[in-house]
Amino acid sequence: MSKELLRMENITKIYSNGFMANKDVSLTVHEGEIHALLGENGAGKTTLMKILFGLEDYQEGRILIRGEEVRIANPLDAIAKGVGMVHQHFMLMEGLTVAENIVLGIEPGKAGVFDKETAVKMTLEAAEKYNLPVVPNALVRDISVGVKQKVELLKALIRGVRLLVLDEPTAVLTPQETRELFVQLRDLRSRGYGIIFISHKLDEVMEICDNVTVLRRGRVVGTGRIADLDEKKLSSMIVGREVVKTVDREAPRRGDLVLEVRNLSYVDDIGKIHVNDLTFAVHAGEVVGIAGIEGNGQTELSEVITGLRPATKGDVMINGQSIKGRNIDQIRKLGVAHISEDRLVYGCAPDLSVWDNIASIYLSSKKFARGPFLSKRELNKFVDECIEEFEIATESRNTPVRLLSGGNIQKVIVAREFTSGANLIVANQPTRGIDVGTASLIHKLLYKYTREKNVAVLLISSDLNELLNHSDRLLVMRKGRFNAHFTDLSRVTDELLGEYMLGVRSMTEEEMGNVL
Amino acid sequence: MKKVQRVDMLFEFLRVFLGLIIAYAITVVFVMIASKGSMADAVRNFAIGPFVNARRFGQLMGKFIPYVLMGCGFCFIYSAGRFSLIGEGIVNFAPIITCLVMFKTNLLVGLPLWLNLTIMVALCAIIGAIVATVPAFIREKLGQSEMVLSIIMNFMLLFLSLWVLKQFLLDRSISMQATKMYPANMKFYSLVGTTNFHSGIYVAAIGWVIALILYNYTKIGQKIKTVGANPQFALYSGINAIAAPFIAQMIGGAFAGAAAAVDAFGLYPRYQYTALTNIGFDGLLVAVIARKKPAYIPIAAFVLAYIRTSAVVLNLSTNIPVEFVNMMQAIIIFFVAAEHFLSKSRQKVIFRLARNKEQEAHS
Repeated sequence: MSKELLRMENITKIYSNGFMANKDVSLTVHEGEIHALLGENGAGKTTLMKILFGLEDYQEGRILIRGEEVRIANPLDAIAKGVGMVHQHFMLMEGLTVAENIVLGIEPGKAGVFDKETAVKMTLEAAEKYNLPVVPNALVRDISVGVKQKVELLKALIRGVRLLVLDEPTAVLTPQETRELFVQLRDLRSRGYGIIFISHKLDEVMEICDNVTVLRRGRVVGTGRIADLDEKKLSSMIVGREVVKTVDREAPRRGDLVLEVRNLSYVDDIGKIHVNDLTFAVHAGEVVGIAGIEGNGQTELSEVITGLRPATKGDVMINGQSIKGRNIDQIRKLGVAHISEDRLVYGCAPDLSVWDNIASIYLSSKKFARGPFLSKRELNKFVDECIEEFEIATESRNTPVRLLSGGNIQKVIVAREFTSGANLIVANQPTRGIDVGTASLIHKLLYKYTREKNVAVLLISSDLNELLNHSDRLLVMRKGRFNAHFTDLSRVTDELLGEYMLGVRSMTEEEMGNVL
Repeated sequence: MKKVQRVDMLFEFLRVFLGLIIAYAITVVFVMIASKGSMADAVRNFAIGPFVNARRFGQLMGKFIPYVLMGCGFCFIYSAGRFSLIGEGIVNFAPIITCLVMFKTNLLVGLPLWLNLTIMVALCAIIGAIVATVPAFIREKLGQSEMVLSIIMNFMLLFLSLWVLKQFLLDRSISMQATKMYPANMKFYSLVGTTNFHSGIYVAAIGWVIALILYNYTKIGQKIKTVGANPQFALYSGINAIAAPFIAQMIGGAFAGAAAAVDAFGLYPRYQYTALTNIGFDGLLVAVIARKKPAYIPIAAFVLAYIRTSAVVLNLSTNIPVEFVNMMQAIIIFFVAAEHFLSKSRQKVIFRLARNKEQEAHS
């Protein structure tokens, strides 16, 4: 057996809201090993890795690197000890070049003057050494997601780390980019690097990993050699039951036009085109999914529709009325509910109570109001009903939202938006990062509201399974435009979607058919 | 989660309470060290000085009354996430304009006392609200710092008030810079003998109730809290994230105006402010101690009034200067505002709670 690189022993971590994220978790990684760390969202994978990288402290247990007990104080300390991390959301300076990003913090130069040439040279040397080709002088803003990931890898490698943590590295990649990444990871493995690979995609894990540790609710529920396991065994270890993927869905009864987007464009302050002349519609009773690699304009589209950003060109009609010249409150009153992808920034106020967070959308309406006063009694009743109907695990309506778990915070948001009386729900990443229980509750609600209450849903997600299982129609977005339109999802595969997302394939307008 | 929430609230309370106790203890120690006379006398004067006779207690109440109003006002500004200190300047400015009405017009002559006082307080509140719109506008419309501007404006208001005083209202028959005596039907009256405990207490009580209602039961109060807690969330919810803090600052200005009225027409026989009064800054401190909640304002205001009166008593009865005790203020802010104070112990308690829960679940 090769040399041991990392050993984490009986790590226990409790967050300040009393949530036990890790309990007696142990993990060992050797040189030349790719170790999969699996578990559902909220199982404690990210917390464990944050502990390893010095971003979170822990209450019990110890960490050994090459057999030596260490206390990792912060990320700089972690890197110095040979641990590097590539986050799910890249930590790069968009306005700087690739080379500048790679040498950030270890800039070459004399007397405080940055030596750009040496930086470029260092980048090229490292790129060649590790077989990760990048263009040193390109701005990070302009490069693709796959290349950004290479930059992140180089950033860690150039600092001499021996253990790499990759947090869902393939989540933002197309299948083609993923294959390229795997070639590079195998190369690193053969050079004796240790890699911790966090993923939800079992086929990938089976393909590339040597060993696996599975977490469930903060505890290790299984560990072993990949060679001895198969996907089915892994998935039952992860969820504690067999996964049922297919959902029976009745065909939608398409009703009236609810959302109509006509020639919509959005250009940001620095002139970047995010949404480029889009036209589409969502009818009552149907779920229209939008797939796409993150950063291709999906978020901007949802934020223009809901009024958080102004349209540069074109128009959005909701229930027959234009949103032009209307503020967010007025747009909401046209019948729009919005589940924002950024749950803690837009979706809630963590320091305020469940009550405050549900009441927030009624402060300018006549509902629950008597003149300038809030009718607290009615609101109390309403909030209590929400807590019960949406199964929000909270002690009371006055509990600050920050004390709830991620899934329950999302339930508060969903409860508020679904009960608002809107007939268009714009759901952006509604289940990202939350437990399966809550996710399936949200999926059931989306289904119920479209079929029983004739609500129109625009579902934006980077989870292809979610889109394939819970949409009635599917649009693929790439570079601010639609690249594909599927009306029959039964014949669509992940692989095919990936090709459209990447732009390997692309439908003509005729092939897409009527997107209205 | 119930227990965690309780621990959370307990530590919130402990932080304020222990902060006050520690600040008090440190000050007592310093008083003992600094006193040249009898140490026991000094400590007694400091601890119970404000309560030994009616005059001193009146002095305490005289401070308490404007503190309540100013503190309530700051709850709104502070809850909206703004830091306008304009209240300080309003204390000087609103009463001098009211004095113009008092001495230069016939509007108030011959009216009954209660009506005059109502008009005067209302006038001061309106002036306060209007003055507060300046830093509010600068912040909400132009995106500049309301704190910096309000501090600068405080001095402008001080000198503007002094100019009005000298130009139009100065009583040439006395040696100090002041107006003539307020007419008998245009000032608050003392409730206990000739002490400073005056009828402005009714204004403070009414103001407090208004603040409670505004803060807890109205749409605007709820909007202000939401914007202050998370502006992006407020925007997303459809709340006008410019109007709400703007209105919060106007409400703060109105309360500052009312505080100015009870101070200027309650404690003094004539308008005689020639410097900033510090009531504005004290109001901020009251709001900080009360954790931005109007419900706790009277307690917080009383605590601060007590400390301030102790300082004065000590100053008069021993060799220890007022400024010496005022440093206690710094210590209080230090502890009460410091989020990290006690956070380790809080973490430990929560850790133990989670452990116990874990074991219960297992057995």
